[in-house]
Amino acid sequence: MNQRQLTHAEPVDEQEIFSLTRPDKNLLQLYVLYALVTMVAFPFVMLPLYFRYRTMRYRFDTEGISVSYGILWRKESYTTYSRIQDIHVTRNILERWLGLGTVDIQTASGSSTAEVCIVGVRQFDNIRDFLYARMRGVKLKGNETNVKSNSSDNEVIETLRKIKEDLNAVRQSLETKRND
Amino acid sequence: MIEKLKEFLAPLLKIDLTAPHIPAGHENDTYLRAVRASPRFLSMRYTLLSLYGCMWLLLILIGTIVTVFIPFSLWLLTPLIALIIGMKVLLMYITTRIDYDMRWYIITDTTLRVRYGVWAVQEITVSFTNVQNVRIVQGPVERLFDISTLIIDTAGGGNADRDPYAKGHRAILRGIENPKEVRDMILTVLKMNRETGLGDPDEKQISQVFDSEIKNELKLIANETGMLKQIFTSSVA
Repeated sequence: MNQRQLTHAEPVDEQEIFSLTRPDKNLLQLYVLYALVTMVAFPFVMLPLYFRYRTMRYRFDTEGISVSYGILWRKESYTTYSRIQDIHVTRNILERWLGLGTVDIQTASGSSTAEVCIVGVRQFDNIRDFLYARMRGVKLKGNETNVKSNSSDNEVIETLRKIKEDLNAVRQSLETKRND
Repeated sequence: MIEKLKEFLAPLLKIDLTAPHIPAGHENDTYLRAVRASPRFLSMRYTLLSLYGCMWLLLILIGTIVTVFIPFSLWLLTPLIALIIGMKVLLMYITTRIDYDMRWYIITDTTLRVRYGVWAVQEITVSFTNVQNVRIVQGPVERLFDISTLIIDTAGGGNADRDPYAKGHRAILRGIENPKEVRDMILTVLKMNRETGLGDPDEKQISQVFDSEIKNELKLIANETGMLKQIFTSSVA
């Protein structure tokens, strides 16, 4: 059913994601537009948005992602990739015209709003695929093979191997005795 | 007519009408499937929109009749209001049509991807490990058009109970023709992903490696003991 129309996502350049620390410059334009909508309240709305844009920092590391902003009240939220439940990519019409997108990440916490929001990025598709490959419950083929059993497992297997060797030795000596 | 308007409006709205991407690594999935909203879903929304238009028409008519009898010539404003409302309804017709084209529900072996929206395009990716329950909801109007809504909840709270269409922690599949079939398909995939979504993600894999090696060794031991038994029984005899 409609499968021929579907296309597959391209592999993601991880270095591009790891090196992402700031939102795109167009985010400031987006904030100006948002503030203009409020008309008279423009300066009051614009000021916090401007500082939010200036202080917004993203950090992708090997285990998780952190987003921080704020000048008086600083906020920093961090979540690990393996706890991501839902990934929402939202683009409203202004964002589309400016080439931006928002990636909202939800974990299993009690609020219905997203725990981590990556706003004003151009690489929203790549970020989504990057997070997708690491999120809970997704094991992509190829990532599975390099799982090693731990030391106590090895011990059990080692013991079994020893038992087998001993039995083998007993049998062989019995066989040679019988043949004599 | 609506097709031409759609073609004219789509670039203005910067909307990409092609299907959303399937997540990478799912090229050969057994359960890979795309579900679309039913054409009856589109008729339902057109019908509701027409009712909305008729309601405004009635209001404007009543308004005109009332304002004719008051001293100010307020009724002269009514063509303007009617024009604005007419433009709005026309725009809503087109966006309803585009919304129908934008709606894609993609099921893979591990995930569900839902895309919809015109003014704000939403795309939600949920892995089946995190899905807590799947519900079928049908309102009276939906029953009239024989379609249903499928709601897939993931763990976590929010205003979920009050508003069935709240956004957080859920994926909503509207306008489904065969809800039971789609639900069963999702449940089949759900059962394949048997982790509860709470444990260590690597747990299962380690025990699998471990189990297969132990089984192998035990088989070899059983082999040895079997041969030993043979030797003993033959030497006794």
